[in-house]
Amino acid sequence: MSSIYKKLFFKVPEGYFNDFDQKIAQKIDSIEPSSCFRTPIDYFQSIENQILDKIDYHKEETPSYSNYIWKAMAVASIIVLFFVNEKDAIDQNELANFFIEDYLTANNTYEIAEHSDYSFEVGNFIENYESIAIDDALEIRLYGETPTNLNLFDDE
Amino acid sequence: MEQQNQFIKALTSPETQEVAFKKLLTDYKKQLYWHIRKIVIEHEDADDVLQNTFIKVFENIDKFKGNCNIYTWMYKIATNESLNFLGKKSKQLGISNEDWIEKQSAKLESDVYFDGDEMQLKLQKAISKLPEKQRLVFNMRYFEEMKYEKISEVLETSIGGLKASYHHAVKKIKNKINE
Repeated sequence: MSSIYKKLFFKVPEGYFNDFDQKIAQKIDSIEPSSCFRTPIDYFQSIENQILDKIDYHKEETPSYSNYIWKAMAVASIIVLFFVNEKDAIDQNELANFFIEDYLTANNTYEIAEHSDYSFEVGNFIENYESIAIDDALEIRLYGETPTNLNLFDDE
Repeated sequence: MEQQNQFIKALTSPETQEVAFKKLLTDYKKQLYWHIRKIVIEHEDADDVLQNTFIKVFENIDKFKGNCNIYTWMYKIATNESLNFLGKKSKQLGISNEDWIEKQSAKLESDVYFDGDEMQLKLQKAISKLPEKQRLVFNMRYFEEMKYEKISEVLETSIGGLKASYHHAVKKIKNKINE
């Protein structure tokens, strides 16, 4: 075989390899590593300029009335809170029952007998469950689960 | 913390804010984009929300108290902007946020900016059926691999509540995928 057959007859557009690295880098840039979503190829390059064009660095401050409105709303909220306080007390009681039930379900009588008096002091008992907010605890209960079932007391 | 304080100072001072804001944009545009994209699904929508997020960040930087990381604060703004966007879109159509997301996920197959295989499509559809909070927690924990402490700061929810939400989300997704 003569060397003429080894010669390639394919061509590439002029300058193709000049910006090849950049093209590949842009393509890789447009793919999020952990998922299957993509962006248009040079999106992250162009978005910066689009945002910067919209920013007005020398905007003059205009007096805003929103602060006064927020203050008035805050005062109104305090008044409302005063009236709904009674309902919160009910939530706290419900929550305490929920935690006690969880404790009794998660521990058998032998385990409970082995626990020292220290863990039964109300303050200490509540402290153990303090990491869970009231709303979240109520949500957990809605799903029919308990903090112990979900291992919420274990470290990550 | 000292470094952050200096950066905030640079962002609020008229002489340095242009350079500082450009740095903020360069450093965080991708992370915020992908966070937003997971919530709103479509690229065009994510693009709108990302722009609004950075404009909000710029306009409100003087209100940033510095009691958390600036990234966490920006994440909060991005999350709120995304949820507001969903709220507006779904209100226009008279449907719930969850229904809007389900609709968007159903269009993924023909989305040119989505290259998932059949399994990934199934996963996205299962995620779209989750309630809003579980969907947010699942995306932040599973895809973005954020620590519960960080998610807790962004969503202002207790770690216990987040673990419960994640646990339920995983359970529902597994069920949906095995259907």
